[in-house]
Amino acid sequence: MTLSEKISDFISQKKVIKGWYALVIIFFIMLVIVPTLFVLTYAFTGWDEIQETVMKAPPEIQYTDVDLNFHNVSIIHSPDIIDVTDPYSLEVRYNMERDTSLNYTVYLMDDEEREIEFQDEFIVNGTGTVWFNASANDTHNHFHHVGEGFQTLVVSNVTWTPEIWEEEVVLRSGSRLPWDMVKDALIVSFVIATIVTIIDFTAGLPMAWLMVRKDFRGKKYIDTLIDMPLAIPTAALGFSTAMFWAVTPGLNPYGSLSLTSSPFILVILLHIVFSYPYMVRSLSAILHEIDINYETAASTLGAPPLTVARTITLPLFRAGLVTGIILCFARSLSETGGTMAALAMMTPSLGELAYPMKTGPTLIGAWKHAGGFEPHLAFTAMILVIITLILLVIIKIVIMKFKMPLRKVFPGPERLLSKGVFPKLKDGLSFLFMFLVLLIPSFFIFSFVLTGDPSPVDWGGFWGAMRFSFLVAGVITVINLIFGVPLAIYIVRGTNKIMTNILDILVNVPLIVPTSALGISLGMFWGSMDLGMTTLLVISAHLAFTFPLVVRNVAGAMEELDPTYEETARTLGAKPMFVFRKIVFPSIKFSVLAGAIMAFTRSLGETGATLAVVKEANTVPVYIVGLVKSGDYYPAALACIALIFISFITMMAMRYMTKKAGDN
Amino acid sequence: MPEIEMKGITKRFGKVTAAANINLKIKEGEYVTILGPSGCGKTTLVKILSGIWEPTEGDCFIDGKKVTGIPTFERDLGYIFQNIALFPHMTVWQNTSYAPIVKDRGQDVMEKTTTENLELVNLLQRKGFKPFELSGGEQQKAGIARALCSGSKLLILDEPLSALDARVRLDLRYVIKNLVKSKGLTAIHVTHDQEEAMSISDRIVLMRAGGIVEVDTPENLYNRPKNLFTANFIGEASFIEGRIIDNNEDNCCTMRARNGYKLKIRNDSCMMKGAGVVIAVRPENLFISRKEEDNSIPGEIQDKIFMGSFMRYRIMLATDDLVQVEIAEAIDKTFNIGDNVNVIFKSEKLLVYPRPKEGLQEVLSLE
Amino acid sequence: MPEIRITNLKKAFGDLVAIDDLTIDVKDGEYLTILGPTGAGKTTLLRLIAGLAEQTSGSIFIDGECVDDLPPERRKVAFLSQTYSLFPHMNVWENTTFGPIARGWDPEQVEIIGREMLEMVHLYDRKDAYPGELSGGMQQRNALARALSADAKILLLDEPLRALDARLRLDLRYELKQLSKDMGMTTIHVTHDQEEALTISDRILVLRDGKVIQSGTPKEIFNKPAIPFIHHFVGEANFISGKLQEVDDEYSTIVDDDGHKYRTQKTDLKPGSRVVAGIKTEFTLMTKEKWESEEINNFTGSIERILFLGRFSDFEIKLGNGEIVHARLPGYQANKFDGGDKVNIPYSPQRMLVFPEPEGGIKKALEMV
Repeated sequence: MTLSEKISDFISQKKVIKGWYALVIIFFIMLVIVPTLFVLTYAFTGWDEIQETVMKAPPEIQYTDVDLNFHNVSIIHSPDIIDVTDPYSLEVRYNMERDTSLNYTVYLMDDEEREIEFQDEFIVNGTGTVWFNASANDTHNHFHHVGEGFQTLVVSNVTWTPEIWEEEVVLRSGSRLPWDMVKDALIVSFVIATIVTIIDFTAGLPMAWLMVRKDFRGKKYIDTLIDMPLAIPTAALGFSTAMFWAVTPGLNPYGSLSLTSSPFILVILLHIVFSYPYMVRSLSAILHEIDINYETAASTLGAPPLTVARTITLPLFRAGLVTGIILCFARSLSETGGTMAALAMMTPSLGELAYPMKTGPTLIGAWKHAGGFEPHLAFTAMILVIITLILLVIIKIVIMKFKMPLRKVFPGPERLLSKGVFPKLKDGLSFLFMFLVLLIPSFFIFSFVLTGDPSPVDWGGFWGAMRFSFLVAGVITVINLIFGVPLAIYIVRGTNKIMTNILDILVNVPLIVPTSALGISLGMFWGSMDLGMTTLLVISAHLAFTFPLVVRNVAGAMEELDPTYEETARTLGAKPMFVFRKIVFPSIKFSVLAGAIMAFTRSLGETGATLAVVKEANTVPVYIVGLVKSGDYYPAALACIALIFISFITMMAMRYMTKKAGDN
Repeated sequence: MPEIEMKGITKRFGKVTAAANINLKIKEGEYVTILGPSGCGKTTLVKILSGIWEPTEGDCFIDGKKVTGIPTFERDLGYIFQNIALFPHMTVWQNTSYAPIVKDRGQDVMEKTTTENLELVNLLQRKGFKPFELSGGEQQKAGIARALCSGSKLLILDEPLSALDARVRLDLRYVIKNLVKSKGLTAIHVTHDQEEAMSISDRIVLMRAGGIVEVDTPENLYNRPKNLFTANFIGEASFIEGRIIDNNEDNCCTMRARNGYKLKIRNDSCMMKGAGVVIAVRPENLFISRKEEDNSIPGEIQDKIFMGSFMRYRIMLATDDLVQVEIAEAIDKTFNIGDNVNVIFKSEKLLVYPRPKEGLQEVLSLE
Repeated sequence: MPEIRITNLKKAFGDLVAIDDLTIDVKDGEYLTILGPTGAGKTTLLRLIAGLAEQTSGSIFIDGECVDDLPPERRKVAFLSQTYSLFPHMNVWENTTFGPIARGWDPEQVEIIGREMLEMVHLYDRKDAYPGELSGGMQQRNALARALSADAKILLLDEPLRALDARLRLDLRYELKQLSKDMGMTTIHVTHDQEEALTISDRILVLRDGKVIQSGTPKEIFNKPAIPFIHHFVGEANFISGKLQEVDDEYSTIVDDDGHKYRTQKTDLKPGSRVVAGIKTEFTLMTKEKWESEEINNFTGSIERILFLGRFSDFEIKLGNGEIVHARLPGYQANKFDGGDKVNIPYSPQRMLVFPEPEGGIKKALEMV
């Protein structure tokens, strides 16, 4: 007996197999699930602190050097680092019972001690916010007015100099709690995620239909094109999309549409770009599984295509629909890097906390970046985790229980809409949507690089970030494979059905929890153990949210693999390890590869978790977002393109290898 | 009532030709079965007829009207599926009433036809059930009711019994045949099961490798097949190869089989002396005896199989041909395995064919 | 050659009992068929024997040795699944030699057995083909060669013919049995096809709802079915129900609810009890003339439908009282009748088998799940 046979025999023992599975499950629970949900414990250990700092109005702050002569108006501003080259902002929130006039004067001093003075007058009523933004280098001021019943606000004689900031780390208001900021940001996040999911579904369904049920020339190219945005890190997408759609001050590349100056609309457009492929992919996967005979049967019974789709296919879809909707929703909810980049593009020279609109993840990013907001972060992450999990259950229940009015039939109109120009119109619109909303914005960055003004690039910084990103992505991919593949096999083939069902649900948790919340949670978990290593923290964070990708892929392949192959092999005298090597692995290896590459590219493109887990981590997306924020657009664009190319090569390699397998 | 005609139907999938130049005419009210081994193109034909696939060449006519290019939902037909394909999210009632609803027949007509058809298949009391709550046989009955509710006079049955247990299949044959005949439908039934085809059809279209082999009534195909493949595929047969060694006399001649054994056979097609010949004979048309008899070949019993009301013997003849003989239980004299017997050939029961050039096995091959 | 002994075997999936207290002995070299409708627990039984599922209670012995704790690879049982499960990424040769290689035989032996098995199933010249390139029949033969090359003496066949065309099945039945006998295998063959079971087996075990309801040679199952369900399932039968009036040395007499009298086989049942009696359609005769004997066992009806089956025809006859009776006649008799003919149907008393009336009536007892 050779050594390898001995090893194989040893591994094939029932006890060893059981022990190995136990180890894998413990790994999964301890390194993925517990850290992900650890933030929830803060509700017990840190509730007092939360109440103190987030829920309750802070004590009056002495405005020593600021002379503010107004009632019910507070000042919130953020940066604790005083660097006169930083853009500053002053957020003035008001709560007036009647028309109030507010005059203010601001004095700014730049590094050459030149004084700049601004004066203005508002009349306000009701509740709202006024931002004053200024940069010491920049004499431009931006005023953004949000709120209802805005009329006049008078602040008399606001004196504001950079020196003040050293003493006032944060000014908190009596009328405006951090809790309100959290609430606003979360509402924005959920509203955006909902709208994005609805649009994705509406536009994705006809596309999935085309891809699965129709045959046309060039289908496989379209198939590849749909996946393109997945290969581009979201930070680069945010950059590119903002340039294409939005009014971006100080930057107007050739071909930009500059259609919107609303951050809300821009973020929706951005989120569609990277979530749409997930929707189309999930819907196509289900469509593939729905026996085409049901549709054929309906059409032999006289139902026109539209009626078939509504009364037969859609109801059969339900269970699978959940996957698509949850994936899109979760992706939109969790995205950080792209959103940050896009917001920074629209409002350059603003501090992060002063962006006119914040989503949950960007708020976390900003607070983390600012430092000193631990209770705030924990609280936000906690709320985000809880709401996401609850929502997950609600979506599942609603879709499964909701009686769609799908049985009613409208023979006349549906027959009409199924014929002539309408189906062609629908197909045409699907393609138009894909090109206009998906592809052009994704690749618009190339237009900028080709037409923009070159400026020097710090390649050293870029490659440094790249090395770190690759290190992280590489390490997590290896660990994912070692633990993810056995866990997937256990979930599908395990005999203890209760256990496998629980694991099956748990695996999805890190996929759904927004990565920035996950990052905060992980940071707290590992921070509480006081390991303190930045690299390890980033790796463990990336491990948590990429782990499900490997498990899901492999589990999917295992489910497709008819267990009778393995059983037959066993009856032919093969030990479990031999069966795995000769039967199971050859059958699932491409899904293993696909999972590995998905994990790798997701890790490469992730911003939110990285920023949430450590304050200063130098991964590529973080590096790019940093460049965008500081207005270094040209280097940012070049870095994006470099990243796109690398991601692309990886993805093409995967496609090539998978295709080769298909030919065999 | 519809009349069906296929003219020059050809269907290619890439390089594979699934059906080659098929011409077929089906009369009103006729029950026609398309029979053949897997992959012979039989399903292709009905899929083209119902508009699920478009032919590469040729046209279909329903009631004299060319239907090429007309989508399935506008062709008036009922279709019964091999995998039944009841809509899993709908009850039996909702499944059955689907056609009247999408065809906008009105509430009254819908209720009336649905009730009527569910009653016909004996499923009215199960109308609230979901498909998965029914047994396989009941599911297919619901599938039949659903197809009938489309109100069409043309019914296509695509291997309707294949997914069911053997015993259930036997019962459903009656159900289907009775329904089709009592409603006066034109039916096209696809199957690979020759017994099912014989039992249910007015006419059988036997296909092989994308082409039609023979079209005739079940009785003719069974008793007087024009083709060796037909003789083997429709009902079992034993085959003996030989050569004609004398001249035709009264449409009779002598054939010499392997190892010098001779048989008197009929020679209606006046084959010449020296011509290669194959005879085919049904198991029930052979007899065995311990004594030597006229026109018999000795052999040894290899296997004895109980088949209910009769016994089947598998006998290796001295000519090295294996023949199967069936004897009714009542007259069975209980021969045993290993017994040496004489197999009696009655020349009027033998089917005679010229020996095929490609070789007998090639022609008979079932796959 | 090994024998299989199964004692008090039980397998439950939650509340659902798939195998219910089963005790079976399979003799050396026996070809046993397990016959039953879908959902009877046939496949589960095979999986338990092969070690692919764990029983809830009871034991399985192979060759006198309890195998309850042995993993499948140590039971030396060849299992042929319904879909054959040929490994799609291996060619015919690799599939066939999988077992010997997995058991660690030396290459020469592997070479010999692989070749021997493939030649036996006439597939040696296709040894480089992949399963996807083979026809259904070839796939089945390849799977069989693979199962046989693994040095097993027990062959478990799970509906091995189901995936094949009906006509091909008829030929392959004999090949299957011949191969199993030539190799000296002890075989358990699972099927729902009663004709297949009759023609192929040394012994048939009729399984329903996880219980053995009869075990016997094909002849016994066909001629002496234990319950009405088997009478109707193996072959087809016409039933009458009534009260047992008297039993003499030769016959029994039954009176139905309308007062008609029937003469049947004699029975051990007590006169006065409710009974049913059934006759196989194969033994149901038809005549155009009036049957000479008196009123007993005689019906008149008209032929509703004729199903031509080649060597047989099946007749559906509607009796005066609206009931339907089936009769199966061999070809030479069948061609004397046409649809619509008025016929007499005499039930032969020797062929009328008597059973106690099943609970819930005869109709329910005949239902095929």
